[in-house]
Amino acid sequence: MIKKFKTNITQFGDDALLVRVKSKGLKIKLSEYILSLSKFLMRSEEHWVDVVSAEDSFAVKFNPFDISPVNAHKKLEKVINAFNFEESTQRHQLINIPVCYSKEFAPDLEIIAQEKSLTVDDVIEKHTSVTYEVITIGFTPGFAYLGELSQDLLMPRHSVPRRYLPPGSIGIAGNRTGIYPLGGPGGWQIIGCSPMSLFDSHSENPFKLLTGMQVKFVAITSDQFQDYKTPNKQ
Amino acid sequence: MSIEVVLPGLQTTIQDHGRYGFRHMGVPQSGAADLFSSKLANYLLGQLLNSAVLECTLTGPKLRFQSNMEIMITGADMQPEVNGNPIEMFMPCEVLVGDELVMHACHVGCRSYIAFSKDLVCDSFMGSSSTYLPAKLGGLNGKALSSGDIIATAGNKPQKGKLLESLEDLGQNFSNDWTLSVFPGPEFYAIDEASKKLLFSETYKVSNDSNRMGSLLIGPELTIEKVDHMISGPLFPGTLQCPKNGSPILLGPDAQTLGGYPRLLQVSSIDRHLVGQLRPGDRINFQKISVDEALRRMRQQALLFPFISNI
Repeated sequence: MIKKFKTNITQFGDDALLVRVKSKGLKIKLSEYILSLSKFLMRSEEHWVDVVSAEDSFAVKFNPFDISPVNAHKKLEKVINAFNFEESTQRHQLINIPVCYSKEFAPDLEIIAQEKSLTVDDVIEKHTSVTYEVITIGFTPGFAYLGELSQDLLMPRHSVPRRYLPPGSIGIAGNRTGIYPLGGPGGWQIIGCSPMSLFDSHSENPFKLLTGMQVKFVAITSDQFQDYKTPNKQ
Repeated sequence: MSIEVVLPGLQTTIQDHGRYGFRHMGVPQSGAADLFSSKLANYLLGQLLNSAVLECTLTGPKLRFQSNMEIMITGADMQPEVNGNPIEMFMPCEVLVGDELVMHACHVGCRSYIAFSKDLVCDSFMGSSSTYLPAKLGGLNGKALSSGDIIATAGNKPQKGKLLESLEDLGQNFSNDWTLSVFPGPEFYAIDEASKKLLFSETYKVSNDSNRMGSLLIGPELTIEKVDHMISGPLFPGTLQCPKNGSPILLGPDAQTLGGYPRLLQVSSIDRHLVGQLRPGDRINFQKISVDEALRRMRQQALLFPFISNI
């Protein structure tokens, strides 16, 4: 079997291992492989206490009383090598997400436009014209990393994260865009806010977005945002 | 069969050992910030280790018992009193219907734990009753306790409690100065040589910007020279991450699962529970430890406290 992925395992403290993954082919979905492998590890092996999957890496936590870090490393390497990845052929749902890009919700929008020599409308157009894919989920419950963001909008994270972003905040960082489902701290550049709830702990399916789903942003006005927030008008 | 919250204290939440298996959906670990103290409380009482406890922060609550039970208090010393009489920590205490437990402010350490011989009836989400405030999960409607709350209780503890032979065995020497044993994190290489030295030679102070998600530290600024556009990667409680401005953040039990700032250090599992006892103003020194030394200390501690081997 030809291996399509190259993995590199390093120590992450005394009770976890970090696995960085590279794909050998361009078209092969790295994050899909990582999520699939992570789920396999969680199901298959009692040594693994928890698995944290990201876009091009994942971490595996073990109990050092149960298995030594050296043996955990060996064991993990073995499991990864034996894992047979099958790309899913499932076609994923497209979800439209309303976003209000008004000033009051978008503290970084004008600065980004200036920095990129674009108008604010250009930035909004570039953000809404792409059909994104959910690359990975993480950070806080239901936070979806969406790609690929237009190359024209590449911005670094803030050098100091903001202490509080309201729920629904739409951020960009590098070639990713995402929606903060909960209020809390965050370091991405904020260009809007969505009134749509993406995480509901009382629902049977608490997470609205799952890895692989397609997402499109639809610009709405402040009034439409308020209407959306008023439940009986939905 | 219940416990009435007369006064909630600064931030009292229901916690167990945390939420596992849903990190790939962004659900943090949560659970007691000082897992050693929370498990110790259950262990000494004869409760299941993972039973829900109350985590009290800086200033504890006032509780009124509506049924007879035993309680056990560990962690930071909040000078607990029952009906005005001081009670001993690390010792089981019998309380009767109508009795009132008062916890005061602690001066060293940050969090105190109360375990109960009865189970607390609370919300469970993804296999854990730990309160995660940002998403209002677990505990009592996902919130910190407030005055007038009633916590229903049920069942009885399965075992007889254990007696701590001496407080010295506990080795609990909380102070306002902490040494945390650490390993270099995945992006330790990202800071310049001078910063690498500073991180181990200088003292960092816990700022007021401190909660269960993380604590912003104040100290010599670190210079990140090698990482610019980082793809977000896994984080754990006990990871020290550092944004571009050079002020590091030490992550707590409610740490985000992924993050895009360089991960400079990882606190050893032998000291990770101490992160839950850091209070604003406390000073921290980071000390490198080898895996072998960490394992040796773990095994030694497990001789006295076998429950630490149970994650």
